[in-house]
Amino acid sequence: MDREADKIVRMSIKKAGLEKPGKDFLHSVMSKIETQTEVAPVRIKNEALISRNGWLLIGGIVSLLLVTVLLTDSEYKLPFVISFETEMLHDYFSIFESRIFVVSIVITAIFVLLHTWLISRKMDDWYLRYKHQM
Amino acid sequence: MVTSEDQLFITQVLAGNTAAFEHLVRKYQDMVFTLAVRVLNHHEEAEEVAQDVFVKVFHSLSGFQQKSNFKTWIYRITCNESINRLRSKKNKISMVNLEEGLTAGFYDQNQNLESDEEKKIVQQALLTLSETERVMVTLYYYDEMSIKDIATITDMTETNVKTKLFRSRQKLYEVLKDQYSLFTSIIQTN
Repeated sequence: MDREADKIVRMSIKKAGLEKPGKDFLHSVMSKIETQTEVAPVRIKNEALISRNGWLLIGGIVSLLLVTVLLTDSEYKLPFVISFETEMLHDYFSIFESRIFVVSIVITAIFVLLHTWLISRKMDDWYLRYKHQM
Repeated sequence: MVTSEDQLFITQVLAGNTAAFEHLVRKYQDMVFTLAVRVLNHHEEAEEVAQDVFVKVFHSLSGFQQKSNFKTWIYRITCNESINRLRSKKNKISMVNLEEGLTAGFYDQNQNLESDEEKKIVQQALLTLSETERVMVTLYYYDEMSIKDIATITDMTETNVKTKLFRSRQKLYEVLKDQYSLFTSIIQTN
């Protein structure tokens, strides 16, 4: 009985065949694909000029320098700070003795960094728009 | 595994030749559309879903693992898309729609009376099955796919597929054996 059932069902399904989509089916699919491909934004992989590790290294060096400078006249001195204690360097760094000066330098630095970041973002947008138009 | 013909077109599409995708659409459009019809039981909706399937396949082609079977992959997407569409529209589908689908959707007026009658009988019989069972039966009996591939497409275990196929066969046989004897007698009297 199973064989007979299998035979009849197989024959029936084969005879019923496949359904056919409309005549414009292929054209519609290709039009959709072409439209979406044209509209789809170009994805450009943005690679940072300075890597994360690079920034960490720069940050480390800058922090070390700042700590060195700020601690120059304090009682606690790091062993390597001695090398900075030449007369010329000491005169040069003496400007950091003024707290107001240091604070103003820090604020200016933050201001410059923020603007650099904003300008680079804007430039990225211009670049992507330009690439997309091409 | 991807057939060498499919592989060739996939490589061309990935290289930027969008027109090469036409060959893949032509090759699979009938089966994709049929599977969508089997699930949705509605021609217009099935055509929309089939179009969406090809668009999705085109955009996902770069992520397709070429060691796997392209046919299985595209049928799996078809089943998922059709079932998702069915779920979102389920509330709107009533028995009235099913009847309409049977006459307006399945019925192709360009074919001769005899094949129309036969087709109608089979399609009526298929309506006794669930959407997934209809897909399984089509894949197994028409496309002669393996149980393993059907299990991948329908996201079921092989044992489950075997059980469902067995039940579907029994159900179809019960309907078809009566319908066929009736149909044969009509043809003979005409």
